[in-house]
Amino acid sequence: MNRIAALRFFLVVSLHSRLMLVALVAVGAVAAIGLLLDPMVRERAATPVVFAQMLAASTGFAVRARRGHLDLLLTGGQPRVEAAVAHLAMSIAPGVAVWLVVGAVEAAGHIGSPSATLAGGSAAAMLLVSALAWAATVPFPPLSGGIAWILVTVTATAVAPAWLDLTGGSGGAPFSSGALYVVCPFVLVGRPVLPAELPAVLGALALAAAAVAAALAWITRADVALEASQ
Amino acid sequence: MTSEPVVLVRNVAARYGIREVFRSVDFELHAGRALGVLGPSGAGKTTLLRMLVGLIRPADGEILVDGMAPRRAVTCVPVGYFGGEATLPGAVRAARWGTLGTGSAVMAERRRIRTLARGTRQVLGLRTVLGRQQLRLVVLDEAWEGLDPDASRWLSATIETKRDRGAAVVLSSHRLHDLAGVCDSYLFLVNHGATLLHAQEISPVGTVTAATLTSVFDRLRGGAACFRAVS
Repeated sequence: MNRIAALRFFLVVSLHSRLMLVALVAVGAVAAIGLLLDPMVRERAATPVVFAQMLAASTGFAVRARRGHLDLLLTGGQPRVEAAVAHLAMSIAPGVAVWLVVGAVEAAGHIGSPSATLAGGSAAAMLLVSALAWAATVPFPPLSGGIAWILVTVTATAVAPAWLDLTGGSGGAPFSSGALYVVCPFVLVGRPVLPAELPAVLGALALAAAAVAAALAWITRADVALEASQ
Repeated sequence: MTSEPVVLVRNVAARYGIREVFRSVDFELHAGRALGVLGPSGAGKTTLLRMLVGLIRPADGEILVDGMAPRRAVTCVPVGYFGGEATLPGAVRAARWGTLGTGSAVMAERRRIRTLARGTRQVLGLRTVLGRQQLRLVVLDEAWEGLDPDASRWLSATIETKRDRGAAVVLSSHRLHDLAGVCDSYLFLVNHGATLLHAQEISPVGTVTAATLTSVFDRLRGGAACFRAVS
């Protein structure tokens, strides 16, 4: 049976606009140049990449599907769940690639010292952002999940600045810290995850995994009526 | 017809929220047969066709494609579905889209899909879907829309070839003369219900024409639709 391969489909039907891809590359380039010019920015180099991924991973599924853009894929022989996983992979791939490149630049410039860009905290933040932004946007228009998340982060920063200071592993209960990492994953960037933080970080990652599972199930079960038909 | 039908539709209904689109739709479609779906705008033609390929689940009733629920069937049975040029993603280059069906380009055009003429977009979508080999079920929504006479003839010939090679074909169109020459039976979606008529029932002697389809269509919905001229 001649199936429409999901990964190949999403290579042809890009989930990211050219502007988003250019923005990601620009953010990565600025971070890499910053690392080369000023070693002191190492701990902050991945922050703009994580921020950009918040928007880049918010590709959305439902709107494209309701316009019929995914009909060929969804009727072309590939099981829905495989199409959904390919959608996830292709949504987060550009941001993850830029993060890895920035990490490689840092590693090349600071041979022998541990990488801050690829440290455990940065990896956890990148995972959280990639998974949650993608999952939250699946039933909504592109970018909506990332924009909503940014609004929540900004609001939390304004309303509860003391809560956002709970970094370093000793500042709060696991639940409060876990919620903090979900609301503002940037506090994890550029440092390793301390043993005392591990339960909170794992809790946040478990929530992200549950969100991804729910989004995959949504795609698998969703009815895809054309906008004009409803 | 003793063989198992490719498509079996039993007492199917469609609703969007509280709005009923249609109810009690029943038909069977066997391999090597073509069904035309007719009805006024909003009668549920597109909804029914999307149900057949598993994109929408019926509110009531059952649809089986080769004995399986459509959503499962499309992963096991080669199914070709095209919902019209408006469903193509405009930002993709035509030549690249054309490779998705078979791996080789069906059109050399390098421009983005949204910059193509409507008929060219329609041909691109049709050739991408119909280029796939050994299709068991072909479902085309408003397939002749926007096509020039040459492309229309190509499409009719391609559909007949697919049907003669054993595919079950489901077509919808507002252009009754296109359906008239191709289909073995016709499903009229009118007044939230459905009426299935075989070609022999519509035209016992001779072939079904657009005129006979129009007259049956008007009779089923209780008279011709009247549109007042606008000056």
